[in-house]
Amino acid sequence: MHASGELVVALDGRGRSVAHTICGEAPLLMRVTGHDPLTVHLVGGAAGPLGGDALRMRVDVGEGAQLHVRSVAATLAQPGPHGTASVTCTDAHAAAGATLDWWPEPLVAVAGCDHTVRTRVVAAAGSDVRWVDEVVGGRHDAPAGTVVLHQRVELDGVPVLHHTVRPSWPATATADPTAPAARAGRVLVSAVWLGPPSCRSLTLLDAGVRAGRFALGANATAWVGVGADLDVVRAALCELDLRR
Amino acid sequence: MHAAVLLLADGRLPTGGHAHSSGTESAVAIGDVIDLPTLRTHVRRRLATTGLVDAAFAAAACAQADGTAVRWRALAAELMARTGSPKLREVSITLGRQLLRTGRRAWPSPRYDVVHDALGGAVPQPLVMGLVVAAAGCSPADAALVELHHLVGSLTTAAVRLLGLDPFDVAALSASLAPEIEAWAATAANTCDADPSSLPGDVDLVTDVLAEHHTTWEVRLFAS
Repeated sequence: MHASGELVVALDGRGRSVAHTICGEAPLLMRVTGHDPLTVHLVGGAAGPLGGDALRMRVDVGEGAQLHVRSVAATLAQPGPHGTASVTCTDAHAAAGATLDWWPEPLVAVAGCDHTVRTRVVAAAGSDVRWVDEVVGGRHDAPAGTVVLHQRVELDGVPVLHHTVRPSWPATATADPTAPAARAGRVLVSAVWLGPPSCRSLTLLDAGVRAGRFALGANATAWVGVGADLDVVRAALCELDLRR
Repeated sequence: MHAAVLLLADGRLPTGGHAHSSGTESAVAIGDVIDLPTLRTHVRRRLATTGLVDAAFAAAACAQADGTAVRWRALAAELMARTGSPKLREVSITLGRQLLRTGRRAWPSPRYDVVHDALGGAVPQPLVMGLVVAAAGCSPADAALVELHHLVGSLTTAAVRLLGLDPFDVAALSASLAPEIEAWAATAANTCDADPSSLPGDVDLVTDVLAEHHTTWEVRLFAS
């Protein structure tokens, strides 16, 4: 299936953020769920991405407008009937003075999937953009599929983050947190926040998680967390000041 | 093979690389590298991530050695965007400065000043490697291979010193990885004419976290 979604937000005459365009083909369905700030939830109108799917999403936040994007549930990337790969491309633009806070529920790479996430965020100087991608390798107690995460973030025309992450998930699930497979982690979170003054670099390491916060220049901070469990990784990143 | 390539690949060339473990010291401390099999996994993961990226940028710098200041700034910005850890960015600039000093004396070229001035003196190591390899009359493929060779040398030598591994075992490990190193070098060299934004961006997030954590240690054997 090929599907696309578009979300365009701008200020109206009274200075309120309004979704001028909010349209998407299943599974990229969206609903406005709040107004201060304008909040849109991804609701997942069909199973997907499945092997063979190509999903494309465009998000545009105009000058001075605010948008928070969340989702109602995790997204399951699953294999299709013909063994082909799937891809989700998201292109986001934030104009000067715009606020975009993107933090949906995680993507779960279900056993057998071959999924690529391709994200490009283009932020103007003076915007405030927080972008959080969470990926979980496999359902609970199940092996993981293959997932590739490409993230490219530009601020005022300069690349501040360009990552391709190919997690080597453990082939089989294990309950032993000290096993080599668990040490590699089944969860990864990669986030970036543009706009506010960057935070001092800091790390947090313990048995179940390796997490860090990196200053990427004057107005950009990145967070990464790798661990055995989503709650543990989120808690570590929370300690490093990445909070919902 | 060009004799200059052998000199560029020689660990005794004064480039400052001996002071760095390229992340092995942290990986040993945290228990990720404890013996030969885990060292092998560690080296292979680094070849596929930071190794590929640094080799690709070295090859691109070599192929574009006559590039404009704008081009060099784009290459440097793209490489830094692929280096999440501020500490690793700093290490890359420091090693670049040291290699530049060696390159200026060993293989003089007017290009060094062009690049140095374009980047305000902060030239990341892979870009300097590409420049020096070009000045020595060697190819982008050579630049990629030498860059990966130094990565493997740094990772494995540090492991010998930190874990007391048998140097003969470690030499055999490095030799067994030669086909893989050549394959990654070929992949890296293939993109040498590409736009800087489309060069490889593979990263290992844990490497970045451990590099930052390493800076907080009070006592350490290596600078990174």
